[in-house]
Amino acid sequence: MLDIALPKGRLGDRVYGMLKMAGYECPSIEQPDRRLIFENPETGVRYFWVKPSDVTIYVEHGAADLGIAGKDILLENRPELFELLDLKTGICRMAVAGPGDFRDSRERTLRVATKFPHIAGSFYAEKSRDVELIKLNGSIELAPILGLSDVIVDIVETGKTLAENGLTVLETVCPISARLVANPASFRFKTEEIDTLARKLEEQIS
Amino acid sequence: MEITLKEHEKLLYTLRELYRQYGYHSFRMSKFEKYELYARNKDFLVSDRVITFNDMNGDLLALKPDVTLSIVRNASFRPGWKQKLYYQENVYRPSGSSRQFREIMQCGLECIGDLDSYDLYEVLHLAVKSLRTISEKSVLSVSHLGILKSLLAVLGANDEAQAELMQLVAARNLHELAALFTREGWNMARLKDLEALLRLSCSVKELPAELNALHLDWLNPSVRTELEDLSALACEEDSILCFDLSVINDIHYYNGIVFQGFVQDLYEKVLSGGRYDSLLARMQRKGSAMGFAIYFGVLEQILRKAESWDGDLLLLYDERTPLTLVRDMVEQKQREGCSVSAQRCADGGRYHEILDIRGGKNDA
Repeated sequence: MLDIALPKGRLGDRVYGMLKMAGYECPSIEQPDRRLIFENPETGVRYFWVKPSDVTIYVEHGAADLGIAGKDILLENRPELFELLDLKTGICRMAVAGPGDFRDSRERTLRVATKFPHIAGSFYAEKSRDVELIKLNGSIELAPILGLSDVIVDIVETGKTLAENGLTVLETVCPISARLVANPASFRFKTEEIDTLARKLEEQIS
Repeated sequence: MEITLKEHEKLLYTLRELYRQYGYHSFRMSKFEKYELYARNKDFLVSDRVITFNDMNGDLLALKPDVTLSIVRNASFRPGWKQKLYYQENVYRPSGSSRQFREIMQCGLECIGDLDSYDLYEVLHLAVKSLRTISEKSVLSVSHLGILKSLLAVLGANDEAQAELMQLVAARNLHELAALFTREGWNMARLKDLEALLRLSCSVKELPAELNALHLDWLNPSVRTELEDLSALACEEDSILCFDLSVINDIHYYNGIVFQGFVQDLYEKVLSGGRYDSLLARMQRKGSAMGFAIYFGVLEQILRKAESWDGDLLLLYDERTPLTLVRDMVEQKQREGCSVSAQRCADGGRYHEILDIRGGKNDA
């Protein structure tokens, strides 16, 4: 039996669709109810819905053998996991955004508001840029508008929210997509099952 | 009188006996070391976070996060001779996934000196025996850092690209490895070799034949020889030794064989080790070294499960029960080999049996 942590929401629905096509269907997960765990002994899978940012925690602690996590979460939390597959879905990018007329000056510390302090910190460290990181948990776009920060580092999908708040993408930090991750200890004991699932899922991508 | 040991105490006792039987001697050390020792070798540590404090004379001390560095610092070299030491110590460092400081019981061994292929095998074999002592359902994943070092040399990778490649191999991240090869303009035939090596899963016994089948003409011959020696020595008991290229330790300290042990139902590695001649060289010591550590902090989960009973017998008494009867019952049950907890009320613990002598009667 493979335990798989799926992220709640659109991405999780989409990836479950791919898993179903790959032969890992679980009819009970398609029922409209509030259960969180679904099992199909015939296909040898047990799915559970978790908050997207918690997927890696479940997998790292072995509560799930496999999980679907965004690259943003992997880069930010740096969990010790195997990253087996780029699912090429949930595609977006991590970007620096700010007011359209923003002009950076190296003469002063750059104030950066973000939900992703590790990613933003590493990005600016590589540029030897002195920054003050301001960790926020949501509504990041507000920060430059209210003068809390000069720029933000956040996930950008279409750029619509940024545009509606008078912000624009200044620089791309890295591309983001959903990844299939595995617990390294589980992988050692379920190598064949996990490899087979990854291979079948890969066929769904290409 | 039979002494009842907790599961982890039994395990520690068994492991100590095992190491002693192979000529290993106990190594004891202080809880503190000068911080400088760890600051100079931060990358060798599991985590670079160390608990420090000032001694009365102003020296900066650290609660030891590691044992190997202290052992190596005291190592000496004589041709043909090796120092074989085992230890059982508490170390202080952030635990793997919780990222909080913890006091972690660690047990392990180090073999330092003029090592030959037999010594390398013996350390690996003792890691196998240790894992099998913990659980029959275990795997010892083994790699040889010489494989990746040979590959990096033929690719001509700079330090940054080297670090990235090692990180991606450790994460079995084939898709980003392909992107790295493209970005660096490396020979794509070597990417195919790397993919084949990452997909290779076989016993150490079969490894030389499997490597030959891959026709890795860039592989350093000394790596091949070392793996052939190990394969020739591996016995049936070593069947849990499986090749796994994703086992990686810092190449600035480790060279040669590296390994990690896993036990079914535990979510992280319980054993980690390898050959670390490079650490010796960095600390101006001659010779070779190989060792491993077992993390009791991780093992706690299965050892705790085994101790799901608080005792054999709960003896309930009250003010009407003659205290001499309580004493006699406790003594009698203890002589019968039971652990007894005498209480005036149920304490919420789990016992195999409850004996109620409230009211002064023994109904048993």
